Amino acid sequence: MSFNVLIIDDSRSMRSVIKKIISMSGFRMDQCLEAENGRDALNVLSESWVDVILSDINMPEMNGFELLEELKKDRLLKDIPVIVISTEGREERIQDAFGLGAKGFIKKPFLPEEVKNVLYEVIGVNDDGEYGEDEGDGGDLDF
Amino acid sequence: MMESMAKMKEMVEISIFEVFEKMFYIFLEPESGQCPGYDMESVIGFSGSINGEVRLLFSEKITKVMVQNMLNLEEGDITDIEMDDCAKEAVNMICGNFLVKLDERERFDLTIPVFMKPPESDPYQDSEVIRLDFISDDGGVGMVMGLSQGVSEQ
Repeated sequence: MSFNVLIIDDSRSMRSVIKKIISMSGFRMDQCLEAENGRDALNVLSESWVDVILSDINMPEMNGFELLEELKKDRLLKDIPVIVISTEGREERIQDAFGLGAKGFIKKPFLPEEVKNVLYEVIGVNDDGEYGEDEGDGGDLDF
Repeated sequence: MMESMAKMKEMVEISIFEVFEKMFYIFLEPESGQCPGYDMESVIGFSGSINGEVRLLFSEKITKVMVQNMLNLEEGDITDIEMDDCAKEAVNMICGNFLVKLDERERFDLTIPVFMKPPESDPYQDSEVIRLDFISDDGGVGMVMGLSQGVSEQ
């Protein structure tokens, strides 16, 4: 099984890095869609189905928290797992994100392994990209 | 929350090291002598129990290395867009990382970072300022944090 992924960040470089990490982790990615902010992401989601979203918080036009609120209100989108990737590392803000429905949180700056581990945990796949018990070795990435 | 300038300087220095090592694979050394020349800067503002802004200054050479290392690009493939983007992302991560170290419980709002040429005159002549300079094999990085309230002089 392959997954469609949506990466939301106003930094094109950050989107590229996250995409590269996911690709190199062995994650079975079908389509990787990108958006520059929450508003742009809702447009993408109106036309394409995705299995998981990785989103920044501090973005122009519509930030990550506003996006989570919009997703929560939408019957079709509310169950898509969202992983927040942000410099906002305070516990209260992390809990705010989880309260709005986020399923994972990665603090910038991050190591590639952190992205991989949270993504795999949220999606529920093991190191071979299969659903089920993780039988891998913790999954170091070689960049 | 009244951290001393010295403590804040230490915190922001650690944040700079963390971001450059984790995201750009660049190992910086503090530079206490002559500041290297800087060609560009990225700036982000923050507001909360203290207000201020962080200016991150770069030589063109180190900005290119940051892009190369972060995005795995050849030098010939680097455009101004990637340099702009990496510089803004760096100051965003450093500021966010520093503010968590400063006060894990306090809420701070960050502005959207901007990228520009460094100003010709010092914008902080009447403000409280933390200045740091670093060197690496790939060029220099500077940081200037201008603060407007809530800092003790210890």
